[in-house]
Amino acid sequence: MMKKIITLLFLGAVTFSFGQSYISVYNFNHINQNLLVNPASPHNYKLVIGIPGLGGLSTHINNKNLGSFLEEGGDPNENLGSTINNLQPKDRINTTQSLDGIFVGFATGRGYWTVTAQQKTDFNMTVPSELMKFLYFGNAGSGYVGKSLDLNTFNIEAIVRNEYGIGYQHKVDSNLIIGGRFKYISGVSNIYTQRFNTSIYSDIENINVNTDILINTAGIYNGILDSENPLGYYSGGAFSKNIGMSLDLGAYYRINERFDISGSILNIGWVKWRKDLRGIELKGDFDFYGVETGFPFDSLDFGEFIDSTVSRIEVNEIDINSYSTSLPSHFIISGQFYASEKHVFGALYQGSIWNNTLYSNYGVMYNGRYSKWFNLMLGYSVIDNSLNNMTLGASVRLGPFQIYALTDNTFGFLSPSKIVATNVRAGISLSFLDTPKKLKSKKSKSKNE
Amino acid sequence: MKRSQLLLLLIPVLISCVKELDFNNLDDLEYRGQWVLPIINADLTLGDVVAGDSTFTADPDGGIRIIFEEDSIFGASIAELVAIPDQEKQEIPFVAGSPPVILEFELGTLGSGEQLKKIELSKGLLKWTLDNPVANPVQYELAILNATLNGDTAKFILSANTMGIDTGSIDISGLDFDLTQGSLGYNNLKYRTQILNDGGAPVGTSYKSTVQLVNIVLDEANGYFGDRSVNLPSLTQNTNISGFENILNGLKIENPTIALKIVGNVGLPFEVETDMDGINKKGNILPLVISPINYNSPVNQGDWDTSRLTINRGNSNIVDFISNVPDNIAFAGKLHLNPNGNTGTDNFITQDGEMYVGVKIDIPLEIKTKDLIVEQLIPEFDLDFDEEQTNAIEKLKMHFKVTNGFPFDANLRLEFMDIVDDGVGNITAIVTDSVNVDLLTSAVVDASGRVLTPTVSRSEIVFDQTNIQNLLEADRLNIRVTFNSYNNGNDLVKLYTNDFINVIAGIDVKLKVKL
Repeated sequence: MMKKIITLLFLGAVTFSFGQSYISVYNFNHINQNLLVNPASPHNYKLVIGIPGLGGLSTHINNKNLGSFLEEGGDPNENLGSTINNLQPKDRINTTQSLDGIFVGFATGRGYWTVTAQQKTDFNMTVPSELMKFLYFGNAGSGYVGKSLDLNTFNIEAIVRNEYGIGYQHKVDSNLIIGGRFKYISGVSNIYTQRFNTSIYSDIENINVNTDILINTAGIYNGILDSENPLGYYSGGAFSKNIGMSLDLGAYYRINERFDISGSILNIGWVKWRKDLRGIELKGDFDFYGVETGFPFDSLDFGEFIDSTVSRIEVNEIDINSYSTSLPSHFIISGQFYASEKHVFGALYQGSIWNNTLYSNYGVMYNGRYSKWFNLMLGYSVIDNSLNNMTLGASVRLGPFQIYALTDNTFGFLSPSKIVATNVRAGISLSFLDTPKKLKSKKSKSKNE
Repeated sequence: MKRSQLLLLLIPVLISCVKELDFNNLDDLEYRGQWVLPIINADLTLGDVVAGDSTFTADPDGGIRIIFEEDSIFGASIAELVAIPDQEKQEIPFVAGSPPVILEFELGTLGSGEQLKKIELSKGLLKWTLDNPVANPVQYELAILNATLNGDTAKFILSANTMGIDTGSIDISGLDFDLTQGSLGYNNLKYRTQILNDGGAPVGTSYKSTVQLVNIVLDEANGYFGDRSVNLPSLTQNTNISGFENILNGLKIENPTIALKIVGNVGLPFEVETDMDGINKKGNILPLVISPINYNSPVNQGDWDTSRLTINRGNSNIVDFISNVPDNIAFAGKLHLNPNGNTGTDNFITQDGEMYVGVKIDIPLEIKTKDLIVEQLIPEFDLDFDEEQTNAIEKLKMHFKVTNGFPFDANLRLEFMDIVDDGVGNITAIVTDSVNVDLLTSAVVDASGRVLTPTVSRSEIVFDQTNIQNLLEADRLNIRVTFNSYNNGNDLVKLYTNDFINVIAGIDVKLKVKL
C-alpha cells in the first residue's frame, strides 16, 4: 500500500510537468479567456465575466512516460530503463497552474478591455537526464567511467505570483487588430538558481565531486516552510514587497476571407524579490580514493569514512540581497484557413524560452463553429518533441453561462500509462454576445444579395 | 476551495490511471546499475611500522631489525644455589654433678661435596627434647660455640618443669656460624652443654636430650658449594613480534642472532644448559640447539660478572629456529654449579646476591621468503544480504593497482568458509570456494637486496556466479597471502624503513537488487 502511495505521489510529481502549451486555447476564440494568450484575438462578445475561482483554471501535464513501469503486462524494469535512457539533456519538467480570480471583458467602440486577476505558479526544472542515467544505470552502465559528468546546465526555478492585468485590443480596421496587456505582479515565493556548477568524475581509483551551487529563495524560509498556515501564505500576498510587471502583446490580421494570421508575445517582464530572502549554498569538493587506511585493517567503516568525505561539501543557509528574475516568456504565431464560416483549419507554432533554451510546440487544428451554443476543437500537436497529442476542446453556452474544457492530449486520458503531454483548461463564464443588430443587418444584407 | 478545484480536475487522470496501471509491477522493480568504484586505498611504509612497534628498530642506514629483549628470563635465588638440609637429631646426654660437656658434629649437606666455611642464617629453628627423670623443674644450657648472635656466643636455655619428656623450638634466625673449626676446617658444628638446675636429682643421674637444626635458610655463605645441578624454572614467553602470529611458513632469515647474558654478583661459577623451544602458530616446536653458557663468577665479594654467549648461524640452528616463526618461546634449563670442581677458591654468596639470565633476539630483516604464507581469518564475515537477494550481484570484479616498494611477489587467495553445525555441538568451518590473484610484483632490488625501483602492477579477480553465491553466503573469510622474495624467493632481500606499498582496490559490480 505504501509503495502505491509513494508511486502515486511520484507520478503526481512527474505528471505535472513540461511544456506549457497554448495550442488548444490560442485559436479557440469562442471563449474570451483566449485573450490571455492572444490579446488581439477577434471575438464577438460584449461582456464576459468569469466566475471567480471557476472562470478559468489550467494545468499542464506531461511526463516523458516515466510512469511506464506500471504499464500492465509490460516489463517494468525494461520500460523504466528505456524511458530513462531516452531522456535528453534539454528535457525539462514544467508545471504551470493558473487560476482566474477575476476575469472581466467588455467592449467599448472599436476596443475591447479586459481586467484580470490571476494566481499563477510556474515550476521549471531541467530534467537532470544524465544524472538520472548515472544514478539508474551506474557510472559504468551510463558510460561515465573515466569521464566527467557535468551538471552545470541544471536549473530549477519556481515562481508563485499574483498577477493583476489590464488589457486592451483595438480594431484598427476590419482586418487588423492589435492588443496588449499590462500586468502588475505581486510575487509570493520564488526559487531561483543563481549558479549551479557541479561535476562528478569517477573511475576505479577515484571519485571527484566538485560543486558550487547557490539557490536563491524568497518566501520559502520564513514563508511557506515556516508559516503556521503555508496554504494561506501560498495563496496570500495580494500586494507584497516582491513587485514586478510584465507585458503581453498581440496582433491579428485577416488576409482575406479564407486566411488570417496572428501572433503574440507573452510575459515580457520581471519580478524583483525583496521579502523573506534566503540563499542555499552548497560549496566544496572532495576526492574519494577508497577508504584510506593502513595495514593491517581489522575493520573498515565505509559509512563513517564516506560521511566524513562527503561532509567536505558544506551546505549553508546564507543571507542574500534582493534579486530580480525574468518571467518564462512565450511567443506564438498562427495561421488559419476558413473552409467556411463553420469549419476553420489552423496551424500554430509556440516557442517558449527558459534557461536560454527554446522549447517548441506546434500543431494543427480544426475549429468547428456549429452554433452559438456549441463549438468544437480537434487537433494534433507536438509538445516539446512529444508526439501523439490529440487536442480536444468544446464550449457550450447555456443561456449566459458558458462552460468550456480543452485538453492537448485526449489519448493521455484514455491510456494513462502512455501519457506524454496533456494541457487541461476549463472554466465557467457569464458571457454576452455582441449586439444582435449587427448580425441582423449582416443577415438582411446577405438576404438582399 | 481553490485546491479542491485543482484536485477535481485531476480526478479523471488519476481514476483512469488506476484502471490501467498495474501496481504489482512495483514488486518486480529492481535496481540494475553497474558501478565502477574505488573501495580501499591502503598505504604501508615500513618506517611507520617501525615507529609504532617497539619490537622493530631501525639502523642508521634505515635497515630494519626485529629486536626481542628480556633482561631476566630466569634467575636463581641464594636458596637455590646453596641449600642446607634439615640436620639429623643429635643426642646430647648429660649427668647430674658432671662438668660441662663439649660435643662436635659435622654439618649435614646435600651430598655434593659441599665444604661450607661460613654461613649466616636468615631463618632456622633449633628443635629440642628433654626427658626429666625427676618431679622438679630442670634446666640446662646449650651453647653453639662456633656460632654468634650479635657478637656473643649463641647460648640457649632448655628446661623441663615436670617429670617426663618436654619439647621446644628456638628461633635461631641471624646466627652467624664459623664452620672452620675442627679437624676438617669446614662443616664443623661445636656444642657445649652444662646443667643449670638438676631438680634435686642425685649426682650421677643421667638426663636424655636431643637437638636438631631445621628449616635453615641462608643469608650468606662461604666455602665450596659443591658440584651439583639446579633446575631452573620454566616459562613461555610470547615474542610479540608483529605479524609473526599470522605467518605460517616459508620465512628464511639470514642472520638472526640470540645473545644470552648472565649477570650476577654471586661468587659461584656455573654452567647454564638452556632448553629453548620455538613454538609457531601451528604448534610446531623446534628446539634451539646451542652449547652451554659458562658463568665465571667474580672473585671478590661486591664485584659483578657478566658472561655472554652469542648464538648465530655458525654455532647453532638459529636460522631454522627463526624460520619456524615462533610466536612463543618456551624457556627451561639447569645450572651446573662448580663445573670444574673444587678449585680451592671459595665460593661465596651474600645477602644482596643475585643472578639472572637475559636474552636478546636480534633479527635483521635480511630475508628470503619462499612461499611464505601469511593468513588472517575474519571469523565473523557477513555481507548482510537478504536471502532473497542472493542473485543481487550479476557481475563482480575486483581491480587492484599496486605500487610495490617491497622486494616481494605476492599471491592473494580469498577463501570463503561456511560454518557447519552437526547439531550436537560440533562446529566445523569448511572452505566452500576461493579466488586467487597475483597481487604484487616485486620491486627491483640491487645486489645487496635493497629496493631500487618500485613496480606498479594491475590485476583483477573475476568472480563467477558460483564465486559470488559462495561469497554472499560465507560465514568466514580467510585471507591468505603467499610471499616470495625477489627472483622467486632465491635472492636475499633486505628491508628498510623507506620500503612502502600502496594498494588501491576497486570494484566493478553489476547489481540486480530487488527494491
